[in-house]
Amino acid sequence: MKEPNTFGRRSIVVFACFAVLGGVLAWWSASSGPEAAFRSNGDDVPSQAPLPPPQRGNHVDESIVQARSVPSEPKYPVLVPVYHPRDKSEWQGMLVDVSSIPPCNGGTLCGLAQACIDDACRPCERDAQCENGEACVLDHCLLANLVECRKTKDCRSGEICVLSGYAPGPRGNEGMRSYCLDEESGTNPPDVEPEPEPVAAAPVHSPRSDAFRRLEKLVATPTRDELQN
Amino acid sequence: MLKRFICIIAVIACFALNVGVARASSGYVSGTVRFTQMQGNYCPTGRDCTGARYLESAFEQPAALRNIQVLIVDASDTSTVWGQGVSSSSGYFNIAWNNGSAGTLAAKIQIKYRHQDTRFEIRSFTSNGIYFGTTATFTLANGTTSGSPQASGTYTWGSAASPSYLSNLYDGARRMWTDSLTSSGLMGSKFTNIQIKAWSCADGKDSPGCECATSCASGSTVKIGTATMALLPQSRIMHELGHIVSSLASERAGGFTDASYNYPLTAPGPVSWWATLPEWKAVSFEEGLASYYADTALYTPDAVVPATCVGAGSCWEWLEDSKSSTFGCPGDEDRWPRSVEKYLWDVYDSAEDSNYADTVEVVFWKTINTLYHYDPGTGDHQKDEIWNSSFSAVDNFDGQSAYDFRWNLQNSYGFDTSALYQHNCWPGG
Repeated sequence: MKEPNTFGRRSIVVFACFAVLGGVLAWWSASSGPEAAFRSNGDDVPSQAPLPPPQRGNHVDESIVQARSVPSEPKYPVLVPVYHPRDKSEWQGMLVDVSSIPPCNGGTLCGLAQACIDDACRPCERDAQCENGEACVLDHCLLANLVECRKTKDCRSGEICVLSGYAPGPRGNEGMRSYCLDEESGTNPPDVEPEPEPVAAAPVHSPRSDAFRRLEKLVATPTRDELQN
Repeated sequence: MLKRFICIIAVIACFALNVGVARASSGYVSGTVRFTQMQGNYCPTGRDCTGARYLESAFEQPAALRNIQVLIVDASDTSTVWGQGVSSSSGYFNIAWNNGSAGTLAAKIQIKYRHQDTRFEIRSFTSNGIYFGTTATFTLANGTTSGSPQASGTYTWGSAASPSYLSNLYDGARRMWTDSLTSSGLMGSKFTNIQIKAWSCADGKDSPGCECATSCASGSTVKIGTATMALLPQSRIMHELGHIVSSLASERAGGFTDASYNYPLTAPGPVSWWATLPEWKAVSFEEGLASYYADTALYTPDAVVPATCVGAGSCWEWLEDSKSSTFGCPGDEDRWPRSVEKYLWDVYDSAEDSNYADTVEVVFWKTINTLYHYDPGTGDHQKDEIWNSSFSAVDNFDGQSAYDFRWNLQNSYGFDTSALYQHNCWPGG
């Protein structure tokens, strides 16, 4: 017999709890943005330092031309990189820029083969920081079965332990391997490859005549080149 | 009691629900980044372009921004990064993102003008920061998967009427790495963290404060004078990166000085040269070498009509235009950087010259590692031959010439290139 009243009171209580807790958490959410989450270690520096307005009379404009909108970005925007240092006796390629550190709470992947450490994507220092089945080599998480070397001392004399490069997948380590690179090795440059990009309808572009080439030669900008070694 | 229990349960449920609300959103975004190709030095339509990597048909067309770093950033603060990855050789990217506790899903795609593996990056000459570009704002879709990412679209930087100079500069450097230097083990080890500073000259003139009017290289830094220089890859970004290769491979203790450039001047003067003017042979070799490395980014060894120039559009000076040792080489052509470039091309190529039997074909990486094999020191054929023994002054402006390269190539790998040397005007004397 009491059920209707009890249910009504219960509903009010639950609603009140939701309201109070929701309010508190909303306030908490609003006051703790990604800046606080990403930059708690104090390693970061301001990652954007707009340059002063262009002083030259050229026509550089790095704004994006997009079909659906024209963005209003500042000209000459820049990011100041901060590279995570690596032992100088190791290969100095693919140093990790820690000026921008994405979050990774909730188990989401880190790109660029980084490790999720304290809810932020950072260069790894040991295997345990990487995902299952991965190993930490030269600050990057690699699939363990693609690790040939971890340090240059694992290689023969004249070789250096390097990474093969990021993959375009979400994790960034799909197919990336570490291996001993012999500096006394190589090949000829790769054969000619067709441009992979599907090309839009081409504007009419007639072959350049000899006269046009001569004109190009005449108006070619440089008459001087420089080397400062 | 029951009320308390119900309230506690409700609070727990409420808490759980609120945590769910506050928890970060995440997902995957895919897309394609590209630019309008406006670089010159293509192989023109109508020429035999066998072995040419860059054809006129690609000019003024959309092209992939390959192997560049791509980020997902907060639309309201583009320094806040929610995800990062790289583009493929077709410009495609698929990036995992997580917005932390931002409470917004308004985002932008951002490209950093940095090679995916930090082989090089384009920095502001003024502030030293890395250039970047961002798209218009779009709304992220929460909960998307890597297998079925949110397709954000195709973004194109620049147009034929309004080129993106940074994108073109990036692509020139990228091509130098991808199509040439990546095949060298030594460069795989050493060619990294190269800084390209743009733009180092306000107006293209030698005005006060203009540090490099056209393009320059020093150590592991390249300077590009003005934006339009980005459209002349063979003679600018690729040539300057060729100097970087030379510097990294040779590990010279001393550098070049102003005084050692223009033949026959010995007094300090401007650091300038020209491909078809007489220069001191150390300079002639260094500049010809840098141009040769640039040529390998645009032509394979079997190219039928490889060409070079310092200019826009298509190049018109033939690398296979070797001179007869009997009839050619008027005046000071032995001092031309172009003569060095042609000699080195003949060392590298697999094509026959029309006027002599070029039977030598040296695999590319050995033309880099030969520099590595010079003995250290200031003596004949050594790394720093132009310097006196105490490195206090340059005393041999004709040291470190093409002759020394020829000598070291033979000494390192056994190739006799004397015929090639003779048929390109004895470029080292």
